Amino acid sequence: MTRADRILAFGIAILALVAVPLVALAVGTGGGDAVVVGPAGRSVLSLDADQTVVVEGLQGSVVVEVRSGAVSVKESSCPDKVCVHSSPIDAQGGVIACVPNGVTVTVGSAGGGLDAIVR
Amino acid sequence: MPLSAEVSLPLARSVDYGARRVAYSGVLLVGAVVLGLAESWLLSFSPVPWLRLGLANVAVLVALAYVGPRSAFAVTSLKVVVVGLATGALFGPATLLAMSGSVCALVAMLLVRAAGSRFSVIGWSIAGAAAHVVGQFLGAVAVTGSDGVLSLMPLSILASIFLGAATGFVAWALLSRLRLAV
Repeated sequence: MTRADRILAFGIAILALVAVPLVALAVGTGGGDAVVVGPAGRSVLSLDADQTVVVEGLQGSVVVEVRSGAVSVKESSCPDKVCVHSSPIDAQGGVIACVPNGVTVTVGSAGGGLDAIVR
Repeated sequence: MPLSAEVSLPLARSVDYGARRVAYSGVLLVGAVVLGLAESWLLSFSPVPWLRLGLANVAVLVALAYVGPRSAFAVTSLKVVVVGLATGALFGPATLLAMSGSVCALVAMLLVRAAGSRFSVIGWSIAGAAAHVVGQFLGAVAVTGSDGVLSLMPLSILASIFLGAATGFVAWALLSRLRLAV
C-alpha cells in the first residue's frame, strides 16, 4: 500500500462521512409515517396502527407489516431476501429496499428533495 | 527436418501477442465467474447481505495490471453476463445493478491507474470498490424509483474502503507471484 493509496482511502472516507448528514437531510428520514414505494405506486402507512399490506413488486408480492410502531418486510418473492432479513425500522427513520421487486420502505417526511434531480 | 526447429521455439514466442491476450482474458474471466458465484453462494450465509468482499474484482485487477483496459472491460462485463445466466438473474434488476456497479468501478480503476505508479493495485481496488457502491446505489435508485436507499450509501462506501483494500491486497499478492508474459 503506497502513500497515495492511503491518501485516496482517507479522502474517500472523509467524503463518505461528510455525505452522512447531507444524505439524511436530502432524503429526510425520521418521524412521520412509513412510505412504501413500488412499481404499482406509492402508499403511506401509519406507524400507529398495526397492519399488514401486500404490495405488488416486479417479480411478485412483498408483504409489509407494521407492528408496535415499527415496519418490516415479512415476505418477498425475491431470491436473496435482503429485505426480509433487514431489521424493522421505526420513527427514528431508515430504509428497507427490495431491489429485485423494485419496492422500498422508508420512514420519514414524505418525498425527498433528491427525487427531482435523480429522475 | 525443418519442422523441428519450429517446434523447439519457446511457446511464448511462437504464439502471437493478440492470441495470448485473448487466452489470458479467458482464464481471468473464468476466475472472475468462479469467484463471483462462490461469493454469491457464501452471501446466503452472511448476516449482512449488503456487504460483499468483491473477490471477483481480483481477476479484473489482474487483467488491468497485466493485459490492459480492454481485457479488464471484457472480463468485468462478461462476468456480469455469465453470472447472471448462471443464477437466472440475467436481464433482471440484480444484473442491472451489477452492471452499473461494474462499469463505475472500472472507470474509477482506469482513472487511478492513469495517475501512474504512485498508486498500487490496492489503491485501484479501493477506488473501484467505492465506485462500485456508488454505481449500485444509482442503479437501485433507477430500479426502485425512490431515493430512500441513498441514505444507506455513505456507510456502504466506508465499508467498501476496507473491503476494497482487502481484495486489492489479494490481487497484489497474486500479481507479485505471477510471471505472465504478455
